[in-house]
Amino acid sequence: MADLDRLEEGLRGHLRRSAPVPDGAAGRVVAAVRARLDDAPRRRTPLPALAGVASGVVLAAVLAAALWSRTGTPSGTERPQPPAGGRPGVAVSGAAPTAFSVLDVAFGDDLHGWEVGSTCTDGSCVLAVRATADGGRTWTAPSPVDPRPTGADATARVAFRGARSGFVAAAGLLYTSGDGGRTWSRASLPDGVVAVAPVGASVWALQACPGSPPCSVRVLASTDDGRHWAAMAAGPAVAGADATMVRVSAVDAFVAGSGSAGRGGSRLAATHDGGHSWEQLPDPCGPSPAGAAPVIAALEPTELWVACDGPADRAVYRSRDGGRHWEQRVSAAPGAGALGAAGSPAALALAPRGPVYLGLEPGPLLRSSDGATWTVSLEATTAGGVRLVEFVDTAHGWVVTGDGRALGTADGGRTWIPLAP
Amino acid sequence: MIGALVHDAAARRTAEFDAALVVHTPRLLGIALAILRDPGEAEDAVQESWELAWRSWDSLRDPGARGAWLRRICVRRCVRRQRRLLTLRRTESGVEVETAGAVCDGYRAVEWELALRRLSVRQRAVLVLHYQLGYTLDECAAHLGCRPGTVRQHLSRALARLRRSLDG
Repeated sequence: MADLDRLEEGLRGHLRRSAPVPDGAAGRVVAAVRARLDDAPRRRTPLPALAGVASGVVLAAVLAAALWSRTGTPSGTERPQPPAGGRPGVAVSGAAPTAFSVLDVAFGDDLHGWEVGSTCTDGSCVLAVRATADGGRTWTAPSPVDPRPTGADATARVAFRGARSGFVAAAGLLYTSGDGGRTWSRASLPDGVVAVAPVGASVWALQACPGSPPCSVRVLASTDDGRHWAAMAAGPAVAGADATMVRVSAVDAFVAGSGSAGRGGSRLAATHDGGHSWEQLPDPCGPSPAGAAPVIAALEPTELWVACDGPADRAVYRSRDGGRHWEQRVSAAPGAGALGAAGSPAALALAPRGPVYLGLEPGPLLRSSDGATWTVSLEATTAGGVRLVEFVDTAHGWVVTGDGRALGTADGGRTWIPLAP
Repeated sequence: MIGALVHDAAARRTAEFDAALVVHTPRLLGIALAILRDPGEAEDAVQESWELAWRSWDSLRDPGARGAWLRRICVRRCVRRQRRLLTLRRTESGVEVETAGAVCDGYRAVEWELALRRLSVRQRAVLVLHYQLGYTLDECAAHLGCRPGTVRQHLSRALARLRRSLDG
């Protein structure tokens, strides 16, 4: 009997450890099955009830048409337009939770973008990416990123370099795609990746350091779309698993974290020579009562914005010399005006040649043309508040809400329309 | 009107199928790979399973039972697929085997792997379902479409053959 127990124990151990599913296998199978169903009507294969409807692309079109017709937008229009009867700053609420829970969006222009999220059915969820070529009116069927189950409330970041090279950072891992997001494989990087930023020919990944006392994040770079990576010799003296990175050119980048690993105690750092050297920037925010990292936004190497909650108030700062000197644009006590709304700064975005947006979670999306006066762009009744905001030009932008929905605007944030679920 | 209803039903069916495709494929691949021990064969078996599932998608009344239903299709597809092969491809398989250092209860992982591949595909399926996925023997029988007594027989012979291979 002891011999049988030993055999069974060894068998369990071997089955548990052996035969891992290869990277990209799930994506290949999903793509092959979809292609088979797409081809079925042409090959007269007797697949009942297919009725010419072949893939989730068509499904998304049907749903989008229904959705946009409800909001009063003609379904044949090319680009997202505000609904005919829309009110400025109207809150969007009451929509049923969707099977695809959006975690992040990335748009290259006003039409082409990607969403990463968790797609769930029968109580199981996996991380997946889907693409749009019409500003979010319709989406391709989701493609799985990782074969392992994920939680519906996971966090993930998506970024693309061009139309084909995609990157997803989720649960400390980095995944890459070379075919526009249809198939994904895990990059050969150690755990701890918290941000990824492709600009020009290079991709940078930010790797958090879990040590105590806080140790600096590392910056890794790849020049072949994520196949090979090298750690930069120098790094920003910033710490924290919630560190963020904003690259404004191939050589200029800013990093913000919730802790400091340097002598100055600053949680902000910048490079202007492609990561060869990093300088600690003066931290205008001071210690955060919640221990959160300041949120940052930049479009140029010289102009950097920061929003943060201090012990007594919320403040927004602007620098015109790359973060070396700061000007406080406004501060507000809790409850005072739009800027004093409940919630914490979660996202800051600059529209090119346009206003600045601040998303609060849970809370509203705020909009300001000068950083001093703020108005509500999207009200706080959107469940979970605003997790992310992004603009590609003055008019076209997107937000991701805390409850996993994405909304778009085509009029500079005056009206917001839910993207196709 | 009727055309629109038909179109809506078809779109709903496609949506349900596509959502299940994305969510369940990773787990089905894990099961197929554990049974077939070959990544290429596993991908083909899962793809065939989905095509079979699509054909009888409307026959399943309880969406909550969809996962178990898909696993059953996949396990049976693996068995049918493997039985068509004349020989077990032991050496050219792409399955990663831990060759250094990894020792399971006295035996090296590579010895476990070779011993597993010497089993019939039904024997291997019973071991995977019972020891890796934790199904009872009655549940294994339901997955394989045979009687519990047959599953007990497969299990007993599989363990005996494993022991002979590992000790030999």
